[in-house]
Amino acid sequence: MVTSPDIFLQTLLNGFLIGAVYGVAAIGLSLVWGVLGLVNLSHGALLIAAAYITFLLYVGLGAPPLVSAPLAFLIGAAAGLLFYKGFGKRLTSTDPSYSLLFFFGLALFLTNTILNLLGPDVRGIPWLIESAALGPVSVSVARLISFGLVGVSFITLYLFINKTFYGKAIRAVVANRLGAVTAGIDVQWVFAVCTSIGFGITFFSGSLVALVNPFTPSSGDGYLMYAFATVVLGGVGSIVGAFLAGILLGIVESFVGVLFTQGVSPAVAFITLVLVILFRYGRR
Amino acid sequence: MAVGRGRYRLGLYSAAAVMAVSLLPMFTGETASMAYFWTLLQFLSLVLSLNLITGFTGYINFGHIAYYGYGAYTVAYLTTITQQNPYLFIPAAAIVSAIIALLVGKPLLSVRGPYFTIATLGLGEASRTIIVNLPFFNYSEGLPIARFFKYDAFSSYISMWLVAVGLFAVTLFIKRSRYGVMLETIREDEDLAETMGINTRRTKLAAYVLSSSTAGLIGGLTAITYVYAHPGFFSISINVAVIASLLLGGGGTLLGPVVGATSYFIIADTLLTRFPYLHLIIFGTIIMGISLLLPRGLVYLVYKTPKLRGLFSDA
Repeated sequence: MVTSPDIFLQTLLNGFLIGAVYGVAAIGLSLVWGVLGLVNLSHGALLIAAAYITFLLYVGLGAPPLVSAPLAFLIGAAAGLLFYKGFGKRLTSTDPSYSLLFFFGLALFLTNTILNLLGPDVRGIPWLIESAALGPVSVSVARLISFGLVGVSFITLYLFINKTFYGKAIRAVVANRLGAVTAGIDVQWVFAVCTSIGFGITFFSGSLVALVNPFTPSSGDGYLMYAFATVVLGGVGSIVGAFLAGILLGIVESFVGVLFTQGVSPAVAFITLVLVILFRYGRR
Repeated sequence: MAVGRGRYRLGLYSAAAVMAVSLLPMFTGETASMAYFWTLLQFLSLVLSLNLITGFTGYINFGHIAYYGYGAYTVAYLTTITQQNPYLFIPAAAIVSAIIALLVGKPLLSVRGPYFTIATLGLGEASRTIIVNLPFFNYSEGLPIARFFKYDAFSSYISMWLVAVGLFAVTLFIKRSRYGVMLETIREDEDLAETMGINTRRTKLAAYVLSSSTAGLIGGLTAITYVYAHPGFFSISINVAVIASLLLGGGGTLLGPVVGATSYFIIADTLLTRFPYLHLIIFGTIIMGISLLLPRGLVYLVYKTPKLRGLFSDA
């Protein structure tokens, strides 16, 4: 089946487009983990919260996702800043297991608030779902647009982190927190900015997820798993790594879906993740 | 400061109180309270078994539930093919879980901190995905075993009670032994433990295998009580509830799991019956509050009170 070049190309392209969204979706997790050392278990719930914001904007005001995605970024950035001001200091100073528990509580809170307010139905945004032909393969316009947004946001973020003075401070904190303090970097400020950007990019990718895939209040768990796999595969704190790993996972998922069933693909993602963890971080 | 046995007095008293109270439904024979206390005992046993790895060594294990599921499926599968009394296969459940834990634990325990947590996170989910695709485990329908034996509420109750008592004894034994001190050294500083000549790899693996095989035992007994093994046994939410109540009580102690499991169980159950729709929202808020305000568990309150601290230095 996959031996046919058309289907092969089609599967590859689908995986690539979905994977790019996975990659950007994992950047928020990677930044907060790498800089603050917090493993955000509520990442998937935040993603889905943003998907619902996009959905409500589309249904209520008719705002196309092209407009609501930047809006979601701003909402997320504001939420991240408030979150850091409220809980950040406490969380970064306690034992990691308790911050895990905190984020688990937050995920439970968010998921069930959405569930109670908006119900358990599967939602989606029927915006530009007609497909366009690209040579031998066809692809939905919404996915192409989401890929464009992914590209723009990724390049902006890449330039910010790698080419500006502020980005240098962030990279310094990822590399060595104590060293950064010694060099006169205001670590608290870097933490606040990173939480803000991290939540912002998570919300942004949440609205892209709403554009390309249907979702329910509990579908955040699956995205959380993918984001974990992506971050660990790409290296904690590295945004380029996360992006490339996301694309790889998307392609793997797409091929597994064609060869076996879609149901096994989370298991495949996880087996990949476990193998990567063991070979990269295991001590012999 | 009290020494020797006195150090665990508070933990022992509370454990004895919970075990004594949970014996009462046996005498009244009232079905509703037996079901309630059976679930409490099952949850308490799971928390105690997780305590052996997560409490003592500080490795947050999200894959604990997988072994619970292996135990349930082992008992149900062996009962289905041999058509014997399922209680015969309880040891097999523990052995199967122990073997898998030995194979999986070896590479898994070579990573630390969040990497270990994330690697274990997929174990339950991956196992569930694999099992629902296997024909001899009856796909996603699971294995019902009700027709192979006569279900008896008393024997299922007393066996879960015995497992809980046994786990208390094991916890107390480890806590008082040299082995327990080795595990706690790994929790506080693994590099230091290695420098001091502790074979950290073997020590951790032994704790992991012990913890996982008891989870298999509990899973097997649960499958008998439910007369059914199904993919829901691998649900991550049970695992998270177990971790949350362990951290709520305070890990690596005797008192912590008792306090954590009972208070978590009672709070969760009350919320579920009072607020059937909102209970998880309230529950999430409570968990966030606990992790911010009591960052070492409820047992920490004992340490913060000078009078109590002198009496029960190591509850």
